[in-house]
Amino acid sequence: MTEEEIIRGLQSGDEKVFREVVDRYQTQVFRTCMGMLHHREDAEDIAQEVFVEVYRSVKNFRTDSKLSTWIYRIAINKSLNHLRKRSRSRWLQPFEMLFNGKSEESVYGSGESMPHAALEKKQRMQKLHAAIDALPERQKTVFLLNKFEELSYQEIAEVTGQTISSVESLLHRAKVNLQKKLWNCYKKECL
Amino acid sequence: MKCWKCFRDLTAYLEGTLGPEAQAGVERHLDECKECRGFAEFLRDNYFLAAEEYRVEPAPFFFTRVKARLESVTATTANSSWRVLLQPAFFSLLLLLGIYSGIRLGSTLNPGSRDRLTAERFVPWINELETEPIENFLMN
Ligand SMILES: [Zn+2]
Repeated sequence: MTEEEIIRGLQSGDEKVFREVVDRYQTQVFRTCMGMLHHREDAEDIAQEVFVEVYRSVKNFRTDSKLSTWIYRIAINKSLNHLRKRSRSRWLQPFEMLFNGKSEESVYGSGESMPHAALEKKQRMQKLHAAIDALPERQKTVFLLNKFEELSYQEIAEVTGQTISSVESLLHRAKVNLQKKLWNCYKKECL
Repeated sequence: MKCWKCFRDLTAYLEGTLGPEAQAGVERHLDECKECRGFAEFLRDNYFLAAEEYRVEPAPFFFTRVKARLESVTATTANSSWRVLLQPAFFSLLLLLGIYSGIRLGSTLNPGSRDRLTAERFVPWINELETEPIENFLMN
């Protein structure tokens, strides 16, 4: 099925085509959300929302960009919105703990029942994610799309709506910042 | 090569995106410098570890859950579109009811009814207040 056929099928509400689109892009979308959120349940939830949005707003889709670019863009925007909401609601956690006796489940779990090696790996991951999360929003987005989604500069520029040269510069700054953060960690032996 | 230069090029070196000359330069420095070598190993072990997380797949039957979600969203939207229509209708009805009951209540207080006395008692008193000079009022 060509991209044009897919778009036409989606726009006419063809469920078979919608299934095809979900099957084709679900892994990419889920991984993008995972990269942003580091939380399986949240990533799954947002990935579902992405496809609901695709189905509902495909009528407004302009064929001058690729379908995959458009879907990535929705996934990034939804993940960033979720992150903003999450950080806004973070200050409420002590109150939740006060009233419910428990806070939102940690992204990484308690790790009590884990073997030592797995626990160590998890802790390293946790620190690394903290370093990635500490990057400014645009650097983080560009970094994840390049490093883990392996998108080209051109594709990242299309997804994020920036010029190729600003993508290059954001990516460079992201890598420098990340390396600095990891250097600090290395010196303090925090990983 | 100085350590700061090695530090600057390290990520690119590990990604293999440096030019052949620069790549060899960093490699030579890493052979000689224990501290840079330690950090390079650390960076490789940790920085590239994150990629593992991305080999995850969504749980099976993802499409079924998306479809269920879509149906529930559609149902909610349908409900809210009914609400959009019904809410103004309800409030208009309430407003009309208010106006109607106001008119009914007013008609029971019209002249000729038993409440006429009350109005007669009030109106002259109010009128007198307006006409009486303030000096007289104060002198009394
Ligand atoms: Zn050195």
